[in-house]
Amino acid sequence: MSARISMSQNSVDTGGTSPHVVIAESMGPHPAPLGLDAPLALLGGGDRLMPGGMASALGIDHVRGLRTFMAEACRSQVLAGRDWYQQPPLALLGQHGVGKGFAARWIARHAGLPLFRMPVTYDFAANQPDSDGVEMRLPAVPLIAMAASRCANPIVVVELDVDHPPEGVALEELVRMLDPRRNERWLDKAQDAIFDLGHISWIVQVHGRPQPRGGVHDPNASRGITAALPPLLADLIKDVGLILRIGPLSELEDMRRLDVAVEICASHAAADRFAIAAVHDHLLEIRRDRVDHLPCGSLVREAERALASHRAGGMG
Amino acid sequence: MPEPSPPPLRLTRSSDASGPAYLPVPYEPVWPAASDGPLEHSVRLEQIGAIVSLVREMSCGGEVVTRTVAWSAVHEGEDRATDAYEALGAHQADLLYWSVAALALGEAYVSDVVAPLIAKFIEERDAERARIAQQVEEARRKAEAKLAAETALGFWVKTKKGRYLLNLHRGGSRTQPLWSIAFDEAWERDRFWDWIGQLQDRFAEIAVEAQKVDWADLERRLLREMLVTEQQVKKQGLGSGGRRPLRFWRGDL
Repeated sequence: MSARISMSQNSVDTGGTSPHVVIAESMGPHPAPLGLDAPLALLGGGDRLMPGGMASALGIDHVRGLRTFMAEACRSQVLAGRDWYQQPPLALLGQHGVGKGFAARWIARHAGLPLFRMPVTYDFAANQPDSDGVEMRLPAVPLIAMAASRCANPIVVVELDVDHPPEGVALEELVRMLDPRRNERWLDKAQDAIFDLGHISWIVQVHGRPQPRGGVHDPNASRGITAALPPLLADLIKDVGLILRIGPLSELEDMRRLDVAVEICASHAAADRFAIAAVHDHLLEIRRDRVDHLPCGSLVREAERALASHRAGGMG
Repeated sequence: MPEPSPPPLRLTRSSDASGPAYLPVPYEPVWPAASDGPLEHSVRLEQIGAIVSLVREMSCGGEVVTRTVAWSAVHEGEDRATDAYEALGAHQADLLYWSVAALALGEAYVSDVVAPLIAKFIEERDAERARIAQQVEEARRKAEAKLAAETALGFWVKTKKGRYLLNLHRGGSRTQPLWSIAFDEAWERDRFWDWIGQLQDRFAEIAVEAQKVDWADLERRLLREMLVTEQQVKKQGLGSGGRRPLRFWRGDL
């Protein structure tokens, strides 16, 4: 038996016995910012990486291909003797609400890693030197994430703006940050230091904009946009990672609702069948829209509400 | 230093219906080498004897890495298990959902879901089998009737060149006669038919004899037999007299 429900309220690895790594090297007289030149923990190792670990955990079967991708990442880490979780760049594409964020959070929780979001738009500039020495620039989000969590391998979700995606230099900058062949020595000119971003698990999230429905036709109104990666980024992720397009598949809707029930109960330390059944029953009762899928965020909120109600009923 | 997070719990199939069991896994499977091939996940049905199971597997290069029996049911016999296997096999799209539901909600949940599906499958299958059996029986009866018609022996009357014939055919009067007897008068032919017509169980024997002996010899022998029968019937006082003494004879002596 190896399928399991991983249950914990705060499942981020504490890093007590985890390996550590120094990810910053100052180029000047000052130490690297945010204490990043001190060793940081590499989290998510141990049983999680084994075949019976997160690769067999329940709650993600509605996202086709994700389990195998994650299992391959675990296998790769174990066989290389790396006792921490790290995955190749993963792109999750799909309409708003199909469950991209749910999938990212699921990976983070089961890997025991902190998750941070990094909104990226057309003016993305992670590596610009300070112009005059007066106006200071904050370190890039991944650096702040590692410093805040004291973790060298957090999950960073890159949220691409579908209306204003990065282009040109901004896109090249983003690709350089994510490229596992180059990001082990990422130069930050403003911080005057070299950082190792190679332990971060990058998840690029792009959601399309739905076509407006109803009302008076307005030719100037914004049109629906299909989620797509900028070509340069798509090429990179195709080469070294995986692009998953998540569609609102009606045949997987029951599976999605059950996965949400399992995951919400497990993440709230309520992985018993009665709690899951109560949440699942509630989610199955929610109306199904023939045109649009029910946003995953709504399902999660309903699941949390149903679980709270179940607990209140049980306590009463 | 914060408390370490609790070890992940494994959900295993339990024989205790009162609730899920969180049991230690007896062994920890290991990853195969990358050179063994890519990993694959599957959910499939298995039947071993009277037991049908729903199995989640992770495999690599044809070798199983992890295997979880998510749900299983013991049936009354192997035939019933085969029915269940075939019934559930028609719902491939649901196997993934059922496997998760069995592990998360309990096997009873899936058993309740699949029971009516299996019952419906058996009902439809039995109806289909009955329909096919009826079709086969109908076809068999038609074939038998056709064969009987094609192989049945019978005498047909015919006139040829002023003579009255009684021909023995197999499969109808259009076939080549197996044997033939000719009379000068119609009543003579009818007299002979009054006798031979009551001896249908001997037609086959006559047909065989006709292949072996001269037709005239066979004619003489049968006419003699007819006359003997006529005499016996007359002695019993059952003859009808006239030219056709066996007209009302029905084969009994």
